[in-house]
Order: sequence, then structure tokens, then C-alpha cells
Amino acid sequence: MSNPGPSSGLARAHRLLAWFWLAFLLGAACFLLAGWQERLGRIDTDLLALLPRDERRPALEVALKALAERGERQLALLVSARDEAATHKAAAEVRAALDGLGLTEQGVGADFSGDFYFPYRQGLLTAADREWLATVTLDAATTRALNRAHALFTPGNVPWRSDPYGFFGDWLAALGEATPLRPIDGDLMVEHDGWHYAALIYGLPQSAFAADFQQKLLARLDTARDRLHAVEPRARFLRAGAVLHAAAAARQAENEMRLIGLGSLIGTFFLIGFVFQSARALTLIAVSLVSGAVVALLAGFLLFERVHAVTLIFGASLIGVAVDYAILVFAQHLGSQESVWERYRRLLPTLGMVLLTPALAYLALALTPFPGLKQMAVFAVCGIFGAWASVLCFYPYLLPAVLPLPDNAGLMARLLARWPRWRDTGRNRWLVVCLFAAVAGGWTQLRTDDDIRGLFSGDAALMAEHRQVSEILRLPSPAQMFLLNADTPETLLQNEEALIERLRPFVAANRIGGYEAVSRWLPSGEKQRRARALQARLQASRDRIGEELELPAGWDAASSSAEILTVDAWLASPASAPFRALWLGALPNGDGAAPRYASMVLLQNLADRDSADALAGLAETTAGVEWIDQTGAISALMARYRERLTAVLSLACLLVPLLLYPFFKGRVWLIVAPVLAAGAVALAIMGYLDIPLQLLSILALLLTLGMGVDYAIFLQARQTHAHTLLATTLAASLTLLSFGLLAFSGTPALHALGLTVTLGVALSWLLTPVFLRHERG
Amino acid sequence: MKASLPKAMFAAAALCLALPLHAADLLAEVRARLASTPVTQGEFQQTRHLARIGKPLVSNGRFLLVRDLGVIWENVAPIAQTMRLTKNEILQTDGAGTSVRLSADREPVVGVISGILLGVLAGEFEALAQGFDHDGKVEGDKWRLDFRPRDAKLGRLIEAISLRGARDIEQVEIRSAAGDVTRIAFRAQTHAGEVSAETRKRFE
Repeated sequence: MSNPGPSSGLARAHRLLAWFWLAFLLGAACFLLAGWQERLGRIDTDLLALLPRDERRPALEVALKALAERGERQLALLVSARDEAATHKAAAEVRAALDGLGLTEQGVGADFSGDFYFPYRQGLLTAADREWLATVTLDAATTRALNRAHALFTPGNVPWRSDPYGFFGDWLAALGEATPLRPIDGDLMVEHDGWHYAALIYGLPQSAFAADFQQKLLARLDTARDRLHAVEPRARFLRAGAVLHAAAAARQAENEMRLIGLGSLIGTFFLIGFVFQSARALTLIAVSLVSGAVVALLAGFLLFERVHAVTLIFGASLIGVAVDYAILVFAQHLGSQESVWERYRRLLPTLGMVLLTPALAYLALALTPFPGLKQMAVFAVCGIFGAWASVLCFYPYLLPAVLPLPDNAGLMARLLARWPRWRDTGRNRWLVVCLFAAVAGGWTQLRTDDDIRGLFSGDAALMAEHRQVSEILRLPSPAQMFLLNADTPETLLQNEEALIERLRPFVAANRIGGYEAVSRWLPSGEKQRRARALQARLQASRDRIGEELELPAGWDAASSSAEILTVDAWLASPASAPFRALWLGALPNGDGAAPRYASMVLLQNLADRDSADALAGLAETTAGVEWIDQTGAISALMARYRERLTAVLSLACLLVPLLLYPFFKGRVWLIVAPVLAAGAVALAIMGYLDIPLQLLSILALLLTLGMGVDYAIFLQARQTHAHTLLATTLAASLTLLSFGLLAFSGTPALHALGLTVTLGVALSWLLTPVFLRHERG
Repeated sequence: MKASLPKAMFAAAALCLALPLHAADLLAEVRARLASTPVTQGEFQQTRHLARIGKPLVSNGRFLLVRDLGVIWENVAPIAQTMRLTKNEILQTDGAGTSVRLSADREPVVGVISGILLGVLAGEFEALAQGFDHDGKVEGDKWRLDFRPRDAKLGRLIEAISLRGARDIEQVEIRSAAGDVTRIAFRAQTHAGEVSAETRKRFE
């Protein structure tokens, strides 16, 4: 640190601050590096994690969490070769390929053996048997039991004597409807559209979300697929699982971070090296960028349990913004003969002001209820602050005493002199009117699109595969479901049963493939008692059977077990394991109030939007039932926040001139006009190009406002426009580079953000010199 | 005596060979002895020993087996009922003509059961051997096969299956996992080389 500062108190305090900041940065960097492997595992790639949760409804929160946990630890593979035998062989090969990864293959899910349900069988009747029992004659019932006794074979591990009429067998068999899977020759098979698939359903180990596990899994799956296709080109291999999306997202995030980060970095260093031709300038910029990254990462990992990959991609694009401070500081002092400390003192107020505007703009991101955007806001503000603070702390030491005026500045000056300026002439007025008409025309073409699926879609091919697997295996939809609640578990089960009665026509009409509900396995106490009462009417038939087969009196005593299956017993049994997640249990209900019980009913293969609407209508007329449509609800939320942020944006357009008025007085419109015009034209262009307006484009316009105002402040605040234009040109082109690269992101949300910012910044950079007072230059 | 010596030698040799005789070999040996006509029909006597019920239940009836189509199992006395087994379906009809159709598409376990029963009654041992471990021996033209389920899932349905026979399957024993045992003795089996239109119709 060679720059000799004045031996004043300020310099000593500053030096102390600089040392402190350096120590903090080094400490933070060591901290981050030390736990890097662990932190990589905390990078979230689930796009749903970016979506808001409705805090006002704990039941929904618990339901979604339970669903997510159930889903994210499962991997489903479907294999099909030309015939059943080849399919079995293919399944065995895939199984071998995945050996050693710590996956546990899961069975069909339900416990069809009936061991657990056996003592409760008197209360368990299928709908068909209930109907049969309601009208049956004693003779017919007796015949049914005797026929079964004389049949070739009665399958299962329930002896005839314990289930003479076969009601319990029927009930167990009906559980099989819950899944289309059939255990055949050691594989779970499913037939769909004439193809025989073997289903391999795996539970993932604890380490499933570690990056290296994911990449290993993907590689093994690719090998398995290649091997399969080498033997049988027409073989099908379909994969579904949250882990695959996570792995794909991680891979994509890594690529994009590399593209955007490296692209921005190389561009930045190239441009700055070219313009300033100073190694010290590059050092300051490098230090400032690294500090920004360190502070942003530190804040991200300390404040959030998991940092989202999308945040990191977005963060990479901040390079172009963070570098602005250093550039603007250089530009102010090109060719200046003042000592570094004098320059520094004079620059402080402007530096303070330019931190504020983009930081405020990014904070607008935090106003939304979207966890992902909040994270991006924190990341951005901390990153910008880190870069800014490093410029503030290290610049007196890193900047050369004199920064020579580069040759390029002359070029800029000539360019600026030729730049079209606003003059109040009749021709220009007509031009403005035409421009207004063109912009207005564009605005009328603007349309909005708040569909969340368009915004956070994952890998398209994977999604298609996932949908196919879901359809074949009848996996329940994670986005649409019924949420039920009641005062007691018994009422809850009865409500479920009432709902399921009303779902039957939907199943029959193929509007849904089926449903998953706790009451399928655990009938309400009331329903069990009714079933027992129906069975009790068969006593005379039982006596007759006893006589016929010469059985001792009371032969059926064992079959009239007295027990009712309770929620607690069911939950405690391993038989309920695959479906326990559907039971949300007791949820706190405000202060001291009695808890409410909640459960969910999931739907398989929801046919279309109309069916979803019809189901929503069903919920309205069934007691204690609520229809949840997550995609719909979130899209509605997006729309609401888009409108709210549009209001914020309009308000900001009014407030910014008012806030800047004390500093610039009458010149304030020169600062605001270019960026407002840029925003208006950007919107018009989006209208003409049919790019829909959505929450993120409004946010992008807010960011543009923050950055555009910064350029104008710098340009207007200094007398030597050429230097500053050079700086703003540099700053704008670097921002353009970063956000332009962001526009190539595969995540539609980031793409929209990148595109709008690129458009807005480009326009405000082009327009700002137009509004410069033309007597200078 | 002279004629019976080679026969005894052959029996002894078969006995020696019985132990090392392996999976496919044993099944192929048995297959080679069975008649290979497409249609077999005959009578059966079925005795069921139901768990914890003293009196065995004896039924008599007739059966019709058509390769690649299925089996029709017709109890005549004391209770009249018919079971038609095909690959993906079990159709039960009682004396009053009421039918219950169990489809493998709706109830996975039906496919498994019909597969096993077809394997047993139609002598499709290779299919059976995929889910079961087997053992047995061949003595002259007589043979015996024992099947035990290989995995626990199948073990919940069936404990064991034994078959004896020569040119035809003569006796079958099926032990269900619940302890109910069915013994079947076949009689008066006849074979036909052609599947008549009328026979085919019964499987539609």
C-alpha cells in the first residue's frame, strides 16, 4: 500500500477500516473454502423451491412438505423390450447397472398379504360386497361360502375358515387397484398401450442430493440406456424422479454459471485492460469482484438453509453491475492531477448515491413473496455492497497517483460530439410525436402471461419422460389435490369417504385415473361398524354352513373379531408406511384452540383443465374439503404481484425525480427522461415482438431504472462528459454483456430477466447522451 | 427276467441321474414324457383339506385343457360350479349361472394365480419354474415334481405344489399359504390333436 496518505485522523481511520475489511474478506473466503464440499450439497436445484409457500395455511404447508419429502427420495424407471421375457432381462441389466449406488428397490408399496388387517377384517368390506350383503338371501350367502370351500383353490394366506365368504380377500384384492403394477416373475410389470414395462422403483439414500452422487447416478443411467439400446434398438427406458431434475438443473446451472461468469469476466478484463491500460486498475476491479462474490456467497449460505442454483446463475450476471463502481471511479479521475486522497474525498458523496439506487432496485425483488427472488435480492445487494465497499476501502491504495488519459478517450469525445442531441425544434417535436405514437402502438400489443409453468420449466425432455412415467404408473399429481380437515380424525375419515363417493364417477369417466386416500386402507370407525353390522346378519348362514360341513358349534368364533381398526394402530404399523404421508395429523389451530386434523387426497392422471375445474367445484360442495391447485394458485399470485410491482414501478418513476431534485434542481428531467424513455420503448418493443409481460419483466424494468439513473447521475454530475461517457459506455456494455448472457439461460425466468434488462440498459445508454446539455462535450 | 434286466438297469441309472439332474434338464425330461397333444380332457376327484376343519371336502368333476387357450374346471358334485382359467382372467360361474369375472388388469394377483394354475394343470412347467424353485425325480416313464416359491411375495399365496404323473399328470397337490390343501386325482384322460370350433367357443 504505497500511496502515502495525509497523516490526518481520517487517513488513519480509513487505513484501519481497510485492514478490517481485508481481514473480514480473507476470513470469509477461508470460511467458504473450508466447507465448500458441504455447501455444494446445499445448493438447491428444485425449481419448486423458488415458488412461494402460503404461510397463512399451515395445513397446506405441511401437505406440500410431506409431498415433497415423499417425492424427492424416489426414482422410478420403466424398461421395456420387445416382449415380456426380453423386458425381464432388460430390467435385470438395469438393476445390475445401478448396483452399488446405495439404492433400495421398493416393492409394490401396499401390503397385500393382509397380515396387519386380518384381525380387523369384519369391518373391512368392498363397496361391491356391501351392496351384495345389503340384499342377499341366506341361501345365496351359504352357497357362496360352500362354493368357495369346494373351489379348486383359494389364494392368499387367509384360510377358508377365517374368511368363508371371501369378503376380506375381495377387500385385499381391491387394494390392488391402487396401482397398475403386477408382480410377475420377480418384476413389477405394467402394461400400457400394448407395451410391457418392468418398473424399477427405488428409494434414494440420504446422500441423494449431493452433487457427486447425482452425476454418478446420471452416468450409470446413461450407461444402462446405451447398453439396452445396443442390444435392442427399440427398447424403451423412461426415468422419473426429483433427483433427475435436480441433477439436470445442477448440470445446467454449472454450465450457465460458467458461461455467464466466464463470459462476463473475460469481457470485463478485456474491455478494462483495453480502455485503461493499467495493471492497477485491473487489480482493483479483480479485488472488487472477488469481494462482491465472497460477501454474496457468505450472506447466501449464512442466511439461507439452501442456496438455489438459479440464484447463483443470476449472481454470475451481477459481475457486470458490480464492476461499475470501479469503472466509474477510474473515469472520474482520468488525467486528473489531484492527489488520490483529494479525489477520494470529493468522490465519496457520489459513491454513496450510486450504491443506493441499484441496491434499492434489487431490494424491490425482496418485496415479492417468492423465496427465490428474495434470495436473489439478498445475493445481489450483498454482492454489490461487497464490490462497492472494496472500491471504497482499497481504492486509495490500489489506484495509481496519476491515471493517464487513455487514447480512446479522444475517440469517445468525438463520438459524443457527434451524438444526436435533443433540440427543441419543430422537426424534433414531430419526431417525438411519431415516437410516442409508435410506443403507444407497441403498448397496445402488450400481453401478460403469468403461467408459472412457462417460467420455471425444467429440462423439457426430462419433463416429457416424467409425464409418461406418471401416466403409466398412475403417479399422483403433486400440483393438484384435495386438502381435508376436521375436528376429529373420525370426522376427517368420514369426510374423505364422502369425497371419494363423489370421485367415483370421475374415475368411471376416466377424468381421473384414480386416487390415493388414507380411508382406502383405513375406513372410518362408522364405516367399519356398518360393515360389521352387515356381516352379523349372516349368522344363520354361518350356522347352516357349520351343519353342512359337520363343524363344531362356534367354529366361526375366531372370525368375529371384535376389534375396530384405529388411526393410531394404522399409523403405528409398517403396513401404512407408503401412505402415511397422506395423513397430516393434528395441526395446531391458533392459541390454545383444539387442534384440527388434516389429510390429503391425491389424484392420479388428471385428464384436463375442465376436469380440474369440475373437481374444484366438487370441493366447494363437500364439507371440510378444499381443492388445491398449486400451479393455478401460484400463477394467480404471480399476476397479483405483477400488478403490485407495476404500481411500485410507476411510483418509483414519480419518486426518483423528486428524490434527485434537491441535487440537480431543474436538470432533473435530463436524468430521468432517458431512462423513462428507455423503459417505455423497451415495453413497446416487447409488445411488437410479442414477448409477454410478466412479474420478472417488471422487476427487470425496476433494475433498469436503478442502473439507468446511475449512468445519468454520473454523466450529469461531471463536467468532462467524454470521460464519463467512456465510463458509462464501459459500465453499460459490461452490464449488457452479463445480462445479455443471462438471456441465454435455459431457465425461462432468468431468460426473461436478462432479455428485459438488456433491452432497457441498451436503450438508456443510447438515450442518455441525447439529453446532455449540448454546450459541453 | 431277460427282458426286465435292462429296464431295471435303466431305472437304477435314472435314480442315479435324478440327483445331479438340473433345472431345465429335469423339466425337459418330464416334458418329454408328457403327451403333447393340444387338447386334453378327463375327470377329476378333488379333495380339499381346509385348515382347522376336520372333514375333507370331496368334489368330482371334469376338465378341459386346451394349450394356449386355458383350462375349464367343472365341479359337478356335490356343488356345481365352473372355473375358466385364461392367461389374464378367471371366470367363475356357480350352479345358478351367476358369473364373477376376475381380471388381471384390475387385480394384479389374479394374473399371478391364473399363471400358476395354468402352469400346474397344463403342464407349462417352464413358466412355473420362473417363480418357483423345483426339485423332483424321473423313474422310467413316471415322474414327480415339487415346486416351492422362490420369493416371499409368491410365498404369501402358495406354500408348495407337487405333481406326479407319467404320460399325463395324474396327481396334483397344492398347499396354500393359509394351510388349505387341495389334492387332485385325474382319471380317464383323453387327447385330441385338433381344437374343435365348439371347444374354442367355450373360451370366448
